Amino acid sequence: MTAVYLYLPLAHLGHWYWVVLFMLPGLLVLAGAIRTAIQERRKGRGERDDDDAG
Amino acid sequence: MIPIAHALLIGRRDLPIPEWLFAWAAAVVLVASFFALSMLWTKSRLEADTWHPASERISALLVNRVTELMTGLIGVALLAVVLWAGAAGTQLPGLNFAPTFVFITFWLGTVLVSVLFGDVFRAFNPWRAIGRAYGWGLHRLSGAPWRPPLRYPERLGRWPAALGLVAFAWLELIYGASNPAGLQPHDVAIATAVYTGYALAAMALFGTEVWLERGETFSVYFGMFSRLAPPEVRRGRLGLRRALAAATHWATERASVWVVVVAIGITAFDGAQEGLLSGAITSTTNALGHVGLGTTLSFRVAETFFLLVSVGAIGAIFWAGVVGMTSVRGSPAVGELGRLFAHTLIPIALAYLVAHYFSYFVFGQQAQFTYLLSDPLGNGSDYFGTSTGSIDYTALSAASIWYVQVGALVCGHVTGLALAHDRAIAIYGDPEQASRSQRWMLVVMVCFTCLGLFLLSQSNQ
Repeated sequence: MTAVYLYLPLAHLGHWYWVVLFMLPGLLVLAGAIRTAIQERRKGRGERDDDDAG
Repeated sequence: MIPIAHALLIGRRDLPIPEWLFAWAAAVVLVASFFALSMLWTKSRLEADTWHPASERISALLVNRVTELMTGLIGVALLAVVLWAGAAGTQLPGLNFAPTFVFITFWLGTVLVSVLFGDVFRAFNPWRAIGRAYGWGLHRLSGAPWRPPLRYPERLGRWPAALGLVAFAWLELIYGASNPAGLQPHDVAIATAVYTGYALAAMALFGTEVWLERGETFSVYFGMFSRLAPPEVRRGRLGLRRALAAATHWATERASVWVVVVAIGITAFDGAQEGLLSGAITSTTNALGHVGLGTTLSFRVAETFFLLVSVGAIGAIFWAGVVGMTSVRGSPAVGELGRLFAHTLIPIALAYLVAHYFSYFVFGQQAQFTYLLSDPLGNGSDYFGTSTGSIDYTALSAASIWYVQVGALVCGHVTGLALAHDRAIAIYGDPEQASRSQRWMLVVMVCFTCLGLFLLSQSNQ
């Protein structure tokens, strides 16, 4: 049973792996933009907290 | 569809690297352009009015009463030829002047001319010429300037133009494709006559210039692309402006963003229906057939649904980027931000058009200017001695088509990125803040580029 679960998606890999390859650059840039936005928000929050404490 | 169609007639390409690697290379170019813009483009350069008059002699030669009358008459004559050929000519789409002229020469060729020489369609627009003649006639009869009876509802903005684009695409891509023989010339003539009646009625109600600016589909569509070109006529004087600068003032009317989103969406749908969506369209058609709809109706309903989905998907990518931008401090509201960045999609609409229809246009023009010109009705006449001409399908290789497609997509998206960066500097003032906001537009541009290349790779299988 386990072997079937592992085997089925791989059997169709040739049909869809290139879709991922086409879309990956967009997903990577999106991930980068989200990550930077979160970092900046944290940094901004930290600066505000420091100001409040000061 | 017209049988002389897309690049798929050429067969598979012989490329040195896999197609998906082009998407990666294009993304790298876009990311590099983003950093270059952030570092080197620190002042807004496109917002100011840079128009300056051209030489008076050249201006007077090109823009005068005679040329205005002549171009208007040419436009009306071409409209008459389309109606005549569609109604009286052969019903074989590939041998009749009307379908090739409307869907290739007019639809694609006018975009090319507009991008190079400005709003040329305005001069040749047959509906404008008839509308102006109507206004002039009423003025002569009554002795007072003609005033339209109704005021154009502001809330409509450019919605009529956006919906007109959907209707035009529906006619070609869905109604035409539902007939095994392709879109019949007779149907093209009827659609042209109906649109002519609609445009003239709207101009009579709201005024010629108001309707041309907001509602007349082709004036708005070609006018949008003409904003990328340097030449512009102002108050009867030809002048030049900085390339791309006029685009920054295009999206002043409500729903302008949907005009450009629809323009990209219908092209994306045309590519997707041959590849990515073909399976989904077939299954939906079959499912609707089982419900009891006829085969043709099922197909049209399924295709219409996926056409709207394609337009919605393009809109969703753009608005996701706009929502992302609002995370930057000092951003205007989402709706206003969308309007402010709508023009950045114009080069992308152009890129999609070139990428999807470049080969279609080249092959179609060989037919248009040989046998279709000499024998517009397809009845054996030979007015210009070119009726024996044919299409040379070896004029373009499959690889050269692919390189043009990739080049168009990359150039279009880099230009879109530059327009967005310039607008961001104008909004945020601070270049650093502007770059921060433009990370989201970079995501939009990379997504559109990869999607475009993916659709092309699919439709060329």
